[in-house]
Amino acid sequence: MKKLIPLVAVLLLAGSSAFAATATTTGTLSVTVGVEMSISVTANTILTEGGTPFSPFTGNTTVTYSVRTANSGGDGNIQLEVSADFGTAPKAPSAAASNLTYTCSGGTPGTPCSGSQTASTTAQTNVVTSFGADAHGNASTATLAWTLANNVAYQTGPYQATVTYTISAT
Amino acid sequence: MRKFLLLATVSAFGLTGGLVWAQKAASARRPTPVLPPAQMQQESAVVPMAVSNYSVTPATVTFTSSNPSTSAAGSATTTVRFRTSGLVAPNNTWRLWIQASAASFTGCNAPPAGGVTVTCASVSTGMACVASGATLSTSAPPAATEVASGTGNHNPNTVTVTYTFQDGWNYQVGTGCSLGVSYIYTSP
Repeated sequence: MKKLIPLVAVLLLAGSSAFAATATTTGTLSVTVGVEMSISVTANTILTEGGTPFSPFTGNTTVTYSVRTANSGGDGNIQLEVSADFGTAPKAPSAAASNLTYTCSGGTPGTPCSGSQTASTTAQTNVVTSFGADAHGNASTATLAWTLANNVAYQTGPYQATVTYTISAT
Repeated sequence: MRKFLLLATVSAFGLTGGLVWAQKAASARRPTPVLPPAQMQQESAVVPMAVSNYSVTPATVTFTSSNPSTSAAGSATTTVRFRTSGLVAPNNTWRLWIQASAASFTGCNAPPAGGVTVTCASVSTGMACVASGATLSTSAPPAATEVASGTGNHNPNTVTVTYTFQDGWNYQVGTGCSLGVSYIYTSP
């Protein structure tokens, strides 16, 4: 009988460590993960004249974007268009007169625009192209380096243009 | 304490039975104090089940993802109902837990179960909400996500559970990515 006592103790400990009654039922959580994108840019970009007379005005804009494209056949890009011009050439700088150009850097996922792009008031031009399928970026950045021609014919004073950026994804 | 004594009694019976069995089977040899596996099963069988009519409606809840940069990408609600009976004070309390069946959803580049939070939105009489934005756990009770607790016998006990899914830019686009969950009732 002495040999039984330790075994009883073990059983009691095991019983007291578990729940006396349990019951379980199940359910399922389901989610559909869709294509998503978002974009934001530096609110105001100041273009400043270079150090020499009539050197162009320059400045940078940072584009911050997030994107998630379909893993099959997905793609997308970022483009811009000048929606409100500085003024009317030749008395004012004008995107419509091809006075405004930019280059791109950064931009992953995707490919930054290649070479110098001339901003347009009538068509969208590339900033970041070819996100590709199954692209994922969270707060990715691309930088635009702007150049505005400085023409002796411009009237003095402040000028302002509005640029609209569009991100698309599939 | 009553349960503790009950277990002690059951265990003692089991051992006594085992001893008698051993003596009868081999009276000529020395009795061997071995507890047969059947006695272990009998020990758990005497514990009364105090929950019934267990249901989850809807059984499948569906999130709709939106902008992953937002704090709450999607939420969905389900209602758990069950009947408690045969509970006698002081051992008449119980707890309701949720446990994810896996560490991540299947598909969609495996969003983690931990991206889901659980909130007890409402309970019926005799219950109290516990979870409020608690992370969905993959562990079993007592490390599971406790949703609500209660006392006494009610028919039904009703718990409304709201799940919130945090979307992520790195998740793969896809439909019907799923994760099983278990609603576990325990009584001490």
